[in-house]
Amino acid sequence: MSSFGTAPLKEVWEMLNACAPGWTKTETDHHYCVKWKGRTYPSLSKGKHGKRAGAGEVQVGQIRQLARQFGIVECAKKHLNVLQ
Amino acid sequence: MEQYPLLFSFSDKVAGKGYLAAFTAHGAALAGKEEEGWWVYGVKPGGLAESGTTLPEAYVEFRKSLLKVLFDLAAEAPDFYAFRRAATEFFNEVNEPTRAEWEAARALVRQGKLGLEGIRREPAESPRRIEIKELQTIALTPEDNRLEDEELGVAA
Repeated sequence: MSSFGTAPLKEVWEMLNACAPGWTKTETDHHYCVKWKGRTYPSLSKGKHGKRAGAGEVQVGQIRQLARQFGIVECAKKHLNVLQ
Repeated sequence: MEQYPLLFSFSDKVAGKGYLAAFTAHGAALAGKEEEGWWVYGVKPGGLAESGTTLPEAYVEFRKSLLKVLFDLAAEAPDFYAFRRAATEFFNEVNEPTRAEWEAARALVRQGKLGLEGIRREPAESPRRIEIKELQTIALTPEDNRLEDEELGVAA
């Protein structure tokens, strides 16, 4: 799958629920800052569509980098088809 | 996918609560070329990735994203020291899987099998770090005025 494809933020949150239990997120002025087990991904895009939380789409390249940062790549692939 | 190991440096300023911070970032990133365009994935700092139709465009987006993270940290930090601590922690968090791919690409550059036209080679041993200092208004001088100072090189 191309890194230029997208997935809904809602599916990213569901993937994190499955692969990074206990993860947290805060919405900053520019991004979502996602944390888990002492690791931080502070630059997740809020998405291109709408301001409603979770309504946006995130590019696969960002999701892949997030999964790498948290060391959950294999689990993330099982829960998000766009990563395969 | 073609991958290239990058070293980058740039300087800028961040306004926080009652202070102005100047920083110079010396980081590492992995550039990946796909059919639709380019991605730049952070190695150090590892917590960001951005894309563009060309490598320069992707790098500009990457740099903007890094700067926005620093803006967010400045908005949360109560003072300069808290900002410097948070920014340094963010910058020093290495993305290990991306670093492994960066090292593999760097080996190809060293073997002469990989290069980027128009981008000079830079020794990968040069330390990757962020330097942050507080600029107080009374200490500002014309020497503090500078155009964007940045460098981009292929790690060798």
